[in-house]
Amino acid sequence: MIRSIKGTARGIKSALHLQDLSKTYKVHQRKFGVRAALKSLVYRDYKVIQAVQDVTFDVAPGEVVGFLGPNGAGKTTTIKMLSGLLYPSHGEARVLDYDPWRRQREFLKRITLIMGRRNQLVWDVPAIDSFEFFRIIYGIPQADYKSMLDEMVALLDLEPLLYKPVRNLSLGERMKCELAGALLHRPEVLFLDEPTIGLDVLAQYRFRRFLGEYNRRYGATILLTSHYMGDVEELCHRVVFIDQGRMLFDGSIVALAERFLPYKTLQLRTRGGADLSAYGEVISRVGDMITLRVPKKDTLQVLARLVAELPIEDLNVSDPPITEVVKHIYTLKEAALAIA
Amino acid sequence: MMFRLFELFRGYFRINMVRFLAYRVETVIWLVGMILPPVVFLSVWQSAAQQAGRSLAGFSRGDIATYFIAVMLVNHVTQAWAVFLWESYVREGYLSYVILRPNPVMFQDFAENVAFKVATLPVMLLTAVGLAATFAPTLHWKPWAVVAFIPALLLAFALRFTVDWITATWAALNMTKVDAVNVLFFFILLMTSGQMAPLPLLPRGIQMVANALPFRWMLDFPVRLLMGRVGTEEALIGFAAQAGWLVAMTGIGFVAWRSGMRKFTAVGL
Repeated sequence: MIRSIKGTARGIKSALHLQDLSKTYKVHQRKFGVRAALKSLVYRDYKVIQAVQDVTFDVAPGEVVGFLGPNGAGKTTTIKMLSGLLYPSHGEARVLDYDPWRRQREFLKRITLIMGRRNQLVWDVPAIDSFEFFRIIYGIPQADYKSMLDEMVALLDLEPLLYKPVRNLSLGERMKCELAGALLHRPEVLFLDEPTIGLDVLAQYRFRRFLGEYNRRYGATILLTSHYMGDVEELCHRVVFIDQGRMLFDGSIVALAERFLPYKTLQLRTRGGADLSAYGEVISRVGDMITLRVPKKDTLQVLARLVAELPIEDLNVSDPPITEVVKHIYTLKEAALAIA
Repeated sequence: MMFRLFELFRGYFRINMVRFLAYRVETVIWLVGMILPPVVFLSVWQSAAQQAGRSLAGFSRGDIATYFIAVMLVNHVTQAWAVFLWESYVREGYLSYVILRPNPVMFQDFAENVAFKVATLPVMLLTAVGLAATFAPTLHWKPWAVVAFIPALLLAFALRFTVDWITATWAALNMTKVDAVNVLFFFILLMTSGQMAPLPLLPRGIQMVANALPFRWMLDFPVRLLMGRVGTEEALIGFAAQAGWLVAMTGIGFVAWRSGMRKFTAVGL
């Protein structure tokens, strides 16, 4: 019997609520070399790092949100605060109406945290032993455990992996088992920090497909950080972008592109390979196929000119890929901060 | 509530037992490491007693054999090694997963501890029988002391586990590096618990330090109680000391854990 968790989150306006959430670290730092190391024995120089600064957003129950930003932006620190690992320096965080920092038993039974390339499965025993362990510590009734495990085995194709010691599994196989183990208690909120890191393309695809299915089936709320934009495009309708601990953007992927990279990409094939630089920025030219970047507001006008003036054989208009958008934001960090 | 706690313990116990059985060679090496020190100390102190031509501080050669065989068994039951484990817990990020489980963090170490002991106790008992056959221990047991030994042993385990766990968590949460604390902790334990020698055989200064620390109540007291070398008054003082240290350490542990978790930065993840 499949028990939906949608009902349990109902009645709560926000599955995640962050209000001015901030975290500062005091980090010891010293200069290079033995002399500096010796000096640091008697004189410690500390620097206060503002890892997260006044981050404010809400996530509705059942929503899947991509949490983006460059390395060191504060994504993982935010997730650690939301899952209850870190105590905030300032501001408020509520998850399913719980204060995460208190790590109440009922709260911990309703969330899960998955970190790419980190294991909570016991390394030297088969995954099925760890699953049984999770069944007991989460107090999962036998019938629910069996139905959830069967479901995981079918969706993730786990059958051949269950009885091998975890250490003998490949990274992709291990991550599938980690995912299954983390979801056995059917959590309502999933914090996923780079869950597909290091996985091959096929494993990434299966991972995303499974998460999408889990979200649809159980209405789970997902906060996902990933540097693979495929994860974000496939799973998230909404993204929150942070950098240097500060929030830069909160909205749809389309709106993100419109705000930070307001261009359309035109791919066209013409007879004779004409010079198209007068129509827009030429991004690439592969054989007869030319890719142009055109300001969004000028797209219709440029298209009309192209059709009227050139012998076009093929034409495709698209938004820039999310990877391009994110790359663009990373290169314009300072400008983006000014916009915010 | 009790059933749930039992279920939890069963879960932790089972997974740790399975893990120990997977790490067969490592388990044997640990066992050898636990058996060898008391056997070496036994041989050394018996030789010393023989050369002295009489007993040492009231310990005959047979008493010395009894003492160190009992030390081996009591040490096995009371042994705790969270100080050894916690550095990797923190540095490899495993602690973060343990913290996010819906039960007390201490459960992991407690169940691992008990599972190891259950898995290895038969070997220790057989070793004790073998040592008894080899070193001819003398027995002066008093029935009341043997009965009193059981709660003394349990309190000794509770105290040693608590002190070890507090030291481990304090060092891990505040310093991240636990190795140095580990070395110091085991040295103090070796010198002041009675592991290296019966305390009356050690210099007066070390005896005074031992009296001021909790470690003698983890080993020396239950061992001498079992041997019938403790009077009723001293036994009562021993129980009071064990209980007092346990309460104090639990209180300190509670405060240290809360303040440590506020400083914890979840490194390794």
